[in-house]
Amino acid sequence: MTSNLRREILLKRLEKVEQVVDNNNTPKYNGNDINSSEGNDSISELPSFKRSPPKMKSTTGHTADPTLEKWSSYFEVNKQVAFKERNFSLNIYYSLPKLLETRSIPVFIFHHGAGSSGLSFANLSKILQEKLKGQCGCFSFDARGHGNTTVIDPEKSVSYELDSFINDFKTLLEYIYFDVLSDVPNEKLSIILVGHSLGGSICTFTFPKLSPELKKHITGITMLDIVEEAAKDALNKVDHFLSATPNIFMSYSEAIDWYVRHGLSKNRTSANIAVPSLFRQFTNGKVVRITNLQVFRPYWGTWFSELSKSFVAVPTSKMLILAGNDNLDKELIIGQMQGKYQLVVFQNSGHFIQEDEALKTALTLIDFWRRNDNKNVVIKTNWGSTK
Amino acid sequence: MSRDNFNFKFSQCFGDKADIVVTEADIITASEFDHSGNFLATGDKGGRVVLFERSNSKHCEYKFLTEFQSHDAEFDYLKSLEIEEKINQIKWLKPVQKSHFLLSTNDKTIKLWKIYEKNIKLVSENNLSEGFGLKQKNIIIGNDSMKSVLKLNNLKLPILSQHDKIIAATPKKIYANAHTYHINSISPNSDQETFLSADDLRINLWNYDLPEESFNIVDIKPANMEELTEVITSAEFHPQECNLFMYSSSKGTIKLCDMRLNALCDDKPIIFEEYTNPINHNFFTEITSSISDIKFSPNGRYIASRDYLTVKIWDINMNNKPLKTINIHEQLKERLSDTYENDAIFDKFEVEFSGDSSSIMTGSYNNNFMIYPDVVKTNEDENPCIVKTFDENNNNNSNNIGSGSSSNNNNNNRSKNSHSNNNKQHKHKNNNNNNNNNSNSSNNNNMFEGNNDNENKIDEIVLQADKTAFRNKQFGSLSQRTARNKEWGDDIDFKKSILHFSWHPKENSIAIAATNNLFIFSEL
Repeated sequence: MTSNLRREILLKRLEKVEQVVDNNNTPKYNGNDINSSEGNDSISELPSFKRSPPKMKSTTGHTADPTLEKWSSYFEVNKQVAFKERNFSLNIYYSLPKLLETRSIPVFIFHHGAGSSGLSFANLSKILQEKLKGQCGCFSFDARGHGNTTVIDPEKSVSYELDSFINDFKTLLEYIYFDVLSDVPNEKLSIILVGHSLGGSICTFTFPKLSPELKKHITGITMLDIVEEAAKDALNKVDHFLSATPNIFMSYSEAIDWYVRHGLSKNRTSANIAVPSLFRQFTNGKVVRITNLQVFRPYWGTWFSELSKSFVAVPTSKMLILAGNDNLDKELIIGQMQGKYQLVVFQNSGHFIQEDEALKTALTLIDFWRRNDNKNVVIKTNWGSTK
Repeated sequence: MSRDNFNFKFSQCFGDKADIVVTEADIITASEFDHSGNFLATGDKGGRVVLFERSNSKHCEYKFLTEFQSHDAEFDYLKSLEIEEKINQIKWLKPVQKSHFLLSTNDKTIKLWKIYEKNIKLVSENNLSEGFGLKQKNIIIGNDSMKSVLKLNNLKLPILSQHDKIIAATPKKIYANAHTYHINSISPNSDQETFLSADDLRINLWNYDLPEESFNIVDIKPANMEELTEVITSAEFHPQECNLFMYSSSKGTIKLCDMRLNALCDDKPIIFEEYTNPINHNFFTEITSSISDIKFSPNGRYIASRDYLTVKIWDINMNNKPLKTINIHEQLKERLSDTYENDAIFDKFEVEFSGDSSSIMTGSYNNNFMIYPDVVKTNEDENPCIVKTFDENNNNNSNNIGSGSSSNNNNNNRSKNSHSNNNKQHKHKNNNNNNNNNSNSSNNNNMFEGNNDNENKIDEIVLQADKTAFRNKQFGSLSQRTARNKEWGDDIDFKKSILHFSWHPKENSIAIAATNNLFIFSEL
């Protein structure tokens, strides 16, 4: 790897040389060959000079270990979509709704939290599909700086402040609505935005920025385990957590074990698919964390400011699912007392609610959709004809 | 100058000697003696640094001191690249009181490590330990243990006592995020305040105390990357002059720069480059002329540069031609296409001066390494010469001196040797004297003496750093071994290359890194 640049220079030279060689007399390649030339000037292919340029490490995640879970068990499609104006190529996972004849088609769009990845919602998506018998669509993706989402032009500066994430998410939503879901009849769409931790903040702040047409189809927003004050306090103490969390493991299974043993993940099925996506396997077998949270430190201040206030004020249906620790802050308490959103508390869950209690979350989300989706409501009237 | 003074004997070998399976992470990639020679540091591919300490001053013996993980693998998200933890270079700084400092670097990050002895104190007695409060009245509670009743005025502070002494290493400063390309060298300045780090296209100047900033002093990146033709391969500060440093490029040039001239120092450097007749260029000349390592002599007067086939010794005051060119492994000249196929032609060999600036050492294949004793001569009337160290039959002599002589390909420049010099020359191989005689007779150059038999030969000691070293004591004299080691024949093991080594600054002892083993050879 150390002679990458040198090799590139040499390769370029070689290409030029090969062009010249076809025209001119032969330069000496091997000292012994001069006497054995056939007497004509043509040069045949010299296989030793056809060298492929040094391969950059490919960006596949966990393909080495066959026992590891694959995204394909949870989502139908995984693709990279390049958004040039955002300078990012987002890695998206999704499953499309199968039943298009029902009155309402729910589409759940997930946004993961800081330091996580799109596959955090894999288990939840699968359960949703099962429970709704394929009637719903599920979309998840890797946000900027995480997972397999890559930068298009590394020379441009990359920012991790909240607005960048918001605009990424907005662009993605428009892509999903106009491109991916174009086959689905618009009037039946019920989009539910689900955000975990930082993702919840992004969902809340993205909603006001969406176009009216898109807003019309959004049934509700759900935030998972995020309370503004608690989040800000946690960030102050995150250094200790970061220093205690290793960034390198010897193998994917060791990483999964570590997460489960330290209580960061209570559900092994979810951990098996979510944890490997946080790491990249190097050629020597070591597994190295992709996202270094220290990189985001300058931007932490922008992430949760005014969150509770904004959440309570969002003009759509809202739900907040908290894990065990139901400490609401002042804005949220007032909002709850005013009935502005639905509060659900899962007592036994860890911070990653969608992983630890995937089934409960799925049922809660389905309920949330049904309750707030007016397309399901049939207004029965006592007047008029009873035919 | 006989080479009896340089009777290098095998002294020690560290590492797993079973060479069946070599773990990648154990391959040694850097080795360096400190300024006193009492400590030896090695870095490996797994990012670890291992330190050895001199255990016996009369005999050259080292013992393991400590080991620490210097660098870890990282993932560069923006470029989607792996950053290896392999240690590229280690450089020692001058010790401060009882602690030692060294700089170690991988491809992207440089770290300053402090190594010191640490006394570990442990709590030896506290309030609950037996016998602590025995002076007081005891009430026996329960059947087995004797506890003193803990009254408020019985409580005492726990007592710490000396438990153990360990050697600890802590990273004092981390100099990161300053290089877009892979760092290939670091070099501390003689002013002990600054150091430089060089990657493929840029050289940065750091202050030890400020890890957040560095100054760029050389930048050879072209505005358009398509026009890139050369990269920086090595850089070093002058050992005495704190304003001078040099760097080498893949095109075979050495540039000596003075930092006082300009902030960006690539404007008016002194360029050390040897003119080679383009007629003699073959396809591989460009690749083999790339300099892999350059070193200043400890007395600061000479520069040694290593390219793939030769070592060149330059006088710092004369930049148009080297003082000496030593062909290291001529037998590779015919096999350059093989080396190109298996990538061996890109191997970066180091070169080292001895502590007294008079001898040179470099490495080769088949676990061979070469020592050239007293090759750096200080005679003023020495004219530059080519030294042939192997029987050369072919006509493709690509090492030419352009100046002074007529342009004849098969020329060897004869130098004006004083008589005493002639007598001391050891001729340990034959040469095609006839060939040269004929071609020289037409020369009018009065530099050519009549004494055609004498060529400027230098002594060469070739040793092998592997299992044969253990048994070498019985296998004949140094010259016999040398001759045998040079007979490579057809199978050259390109995997067994000696790239990294270090010469003790005060005596004739050397540490050689051979894949995962560390060999120590010494005269003592």
